[in-house]
Amino acid sequence: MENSRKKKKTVTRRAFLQSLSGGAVGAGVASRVLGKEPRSIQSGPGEMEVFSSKRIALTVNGKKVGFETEPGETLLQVLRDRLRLTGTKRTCNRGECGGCTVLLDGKPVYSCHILAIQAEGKDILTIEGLASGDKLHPVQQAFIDKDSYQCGFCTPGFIMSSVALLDKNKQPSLDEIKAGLSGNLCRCGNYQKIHAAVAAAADAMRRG
Amino acid sequence: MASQIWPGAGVPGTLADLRIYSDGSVEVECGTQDIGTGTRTHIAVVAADTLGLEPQDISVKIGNSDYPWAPISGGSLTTPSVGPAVRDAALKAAEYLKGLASKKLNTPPADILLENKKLVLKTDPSKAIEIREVVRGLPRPMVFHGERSEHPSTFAFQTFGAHFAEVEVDTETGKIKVKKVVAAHDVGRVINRQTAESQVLGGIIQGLSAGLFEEKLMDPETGTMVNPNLHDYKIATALDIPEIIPIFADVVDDRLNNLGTKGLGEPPRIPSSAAIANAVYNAIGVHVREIPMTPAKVLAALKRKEAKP
Amino acid sequence: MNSFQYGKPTSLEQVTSFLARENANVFVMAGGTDLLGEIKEGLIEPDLVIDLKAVPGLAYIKKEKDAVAIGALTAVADLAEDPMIRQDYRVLVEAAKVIASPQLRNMGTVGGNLCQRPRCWYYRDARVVCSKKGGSKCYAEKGRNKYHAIFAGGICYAVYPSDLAPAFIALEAIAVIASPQGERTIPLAEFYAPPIVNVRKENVLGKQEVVKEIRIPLAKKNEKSTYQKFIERGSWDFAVVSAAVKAALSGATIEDIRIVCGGVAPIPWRLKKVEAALKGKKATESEARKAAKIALAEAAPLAENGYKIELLETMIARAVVALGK
Ligand SMILES: Cc1cc2nc3c(=O)[nH]c(=O)nc-3n(C[C@@H](O)[C@@H](O)[C@H](O)COP(=O)(O)OP(=O)(O)OC[C@H]3O[C@@H](n4cnc5c(N)ncnc54)[C@H](O)[C@@H]3O)c2cc1C
Ligand code: FES
Ligand code: FES
Repeated sequence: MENSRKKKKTVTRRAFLQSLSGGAVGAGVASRVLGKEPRSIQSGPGEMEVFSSKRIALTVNGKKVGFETEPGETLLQVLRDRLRLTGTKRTCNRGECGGCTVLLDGKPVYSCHILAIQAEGKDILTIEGLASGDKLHPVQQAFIDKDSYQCGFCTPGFIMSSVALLDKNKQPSLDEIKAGLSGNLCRCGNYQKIHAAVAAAADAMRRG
Repeated sequence: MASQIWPGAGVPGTLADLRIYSDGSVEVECGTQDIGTGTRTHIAVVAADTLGLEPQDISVKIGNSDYPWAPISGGSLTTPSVGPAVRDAALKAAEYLKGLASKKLNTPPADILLENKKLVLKTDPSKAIEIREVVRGLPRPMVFHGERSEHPSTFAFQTFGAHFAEVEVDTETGKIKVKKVVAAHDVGRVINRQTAESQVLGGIIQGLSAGLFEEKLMDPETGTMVNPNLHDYKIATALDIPEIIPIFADVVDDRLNNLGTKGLGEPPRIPSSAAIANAVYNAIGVHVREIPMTPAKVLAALKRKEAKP
Repeated sequence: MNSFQYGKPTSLEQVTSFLARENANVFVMAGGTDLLGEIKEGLIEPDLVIDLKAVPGLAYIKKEKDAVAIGALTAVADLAEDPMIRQDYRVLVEAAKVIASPQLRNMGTVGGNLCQRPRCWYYRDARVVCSKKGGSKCYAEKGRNKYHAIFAGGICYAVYPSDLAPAFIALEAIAVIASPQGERTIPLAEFYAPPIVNVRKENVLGKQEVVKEIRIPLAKKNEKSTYQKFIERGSWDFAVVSAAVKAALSGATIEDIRIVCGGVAPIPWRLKKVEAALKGKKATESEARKAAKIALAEAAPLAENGYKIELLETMIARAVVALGK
């Protein structure tokens, strides 16, 4: 799925695997190991447009980027593997941890659970886009000041959720902070300091 | 409430090298690693404190097995292994710097202090010379080898801690809410308050998470774990976090090692689930003897209590 | 993820005619929060995924003469924050705001929520061929089943996971369904079908049909509604048990009531006998518990999910009490 060259190889390996195991079980195993062999569907005039891959443009951290994407590619894969914006983390890859949180048109979403092709024309903000020059975003600065991480793997996701929260609510209560960050997990258990950082950032942003 | 003991003593023989360059910069190399516990910070703090510098003056090189030997990070042994080795190297460096300064200040090395990036005469602080000045013109970087000493042989040593938990139990649903945890720990000298607090927060949250939610569900039907993901294997979320107050005894025990410090990885994790379980008992009058204390288990415990005459 | 093609429609007609034409593995996707999980786990292997979000004009909340109309592509977060919904339909707000997490509420849609597939761990494990996947048995029956059904199991004990479904059914919502032949409407309560009808599906949607809109009757003055959801941790959890209740009250007396529960059966589970027992009674905890026991007597728990019976009684009681608040 990652690129079309790989797909061609898949077919021959699949045929090989199937020839070894034979029958329905073999096909099931092959498809799970190798990826499914795609069937090409055409659409006629006036019908829905169908793509096997598509050149799309989107805005990432204020910059327009364009690339060819296959439908099975997630926004997270594009950010990390193509644009080399590796601040956005892949942890669970299934919408259960928040490590991949980015802002899509200003709203926090899990980039692992969105197809890149669906982000066509959208505005994406990642952790790399927060600072202006050497000046960190107040939320980033507050995370440093309050020592709000241990291993740091969850941090970019938490910062993006915090930025979105403070965008909507300039003076959140502790309960509102907790609710706003309830879609991000921190395995190191540093939540209390994360909440403190968000409160401090809110103060700093109000003071301007 | 629940308490803990745990060695947290560190590993004798841990090594660290401290280098001073002729431009006055200081570097520490140690084959340890920072898994989020703050090792990098601790090394800088210990070296800087010993040499009268600021932590940001020390460049810390870790995470490479080519560097002087240090143990794995586990068993609460990183800080009490690495810290004393760095301290040892830095003490040697301090002696060397004092030796250099003694000639320039015309006074015995024992009368010199290291503070504010300077070598200062104890009796007359107006007489001082910058560390940078002293090392200027060194023909090569000076390397000081530090080593973590043996354990004392005549007495035992442990970390000590006690957690106090306040919980709310919904007796109609069996749901437990932890409201507040106060955690007191004796880990000898606290090297860095911020990172030490993080260890305590983490130990409590993981104890809360294991105590209330985390359960590896094995299935006899299929021979698999049915919940191998972060949704069905539940870990604590932001909305499960109580107020946590960490307290440190901060009693320096010089007999332990040259820093008087002990480890702080396991200690806050050891009593955390148990303190919550004991608070639950205190609230509902019946023990839930197995973690995680899920609603189903709490409801079953309450039923057991009712059934008893 | 596997390779698949991507369909970018400009109208629902394009979608439904395409679905009608194709016999292959073609799936519609709204927010993708559930569908992509199914693809990644290898539960489905689509040849083509149709992006409903590409169709303009399907995300809206409108007050009309006789009903409130909610477009299928409305984000769950937008439903929770809509001022008119907040004023008139507390049950919807209380259900929407506890769904998953803030990020998933931004991504997920109302239609997708109502059409999502069960979360049973055997169903979600591609290696296990259970009855829902064409196998011969439900592994939960004798396996690990703390989250499984206490009503209407048998062929399949997976519970229906949606929070919005019970809330909408309590509100007597109607689903507007589009197909190449045009539109049809069906009460949402009849949209779901239990395993005996077809264990492979949870609803009666035809292969060429998609949900276009949900309509709810305008709220009457004396009507109150609420949603009580029990989850194990603070957030990001499917309902262990939930109760959506709408009632017409005169003073403290219940004139009419609808109780629909989540997390207890393969489809949203309406408790008609409990409703009947509560009519004419005061909206108090003791009346509610007394009535709830009637239904709970019919529950058939498995080895590990008996605690749901107690929880359900409590959720119903709390919902009835909350009506008055
Ligand atoms: C970690 C996690 C936690 C979650 N927690 C909850 C929770 O607590 N409560 C809850 O209710 N849900 C929860 N969900 C499920 C979540 O997927 C839904 O809440 C969400 O609303 C689904 O919407 P969607 O638009 O993303 O659906 P999609 O994933 O796009 O679609 C879901 C299914 O519906 C079909 N479909 C979508 N739209 C239509 C339509 N208009 N007509 C016909 N078929 C359609 C799709 O083909 C697919 O099969 C959770 C999901 C995850 C990943
Ligand atoms: S990696 Fe996306 S939510 Fe975990
Ligand atoms: S800091 Fe390690 S997971 Fe949050």
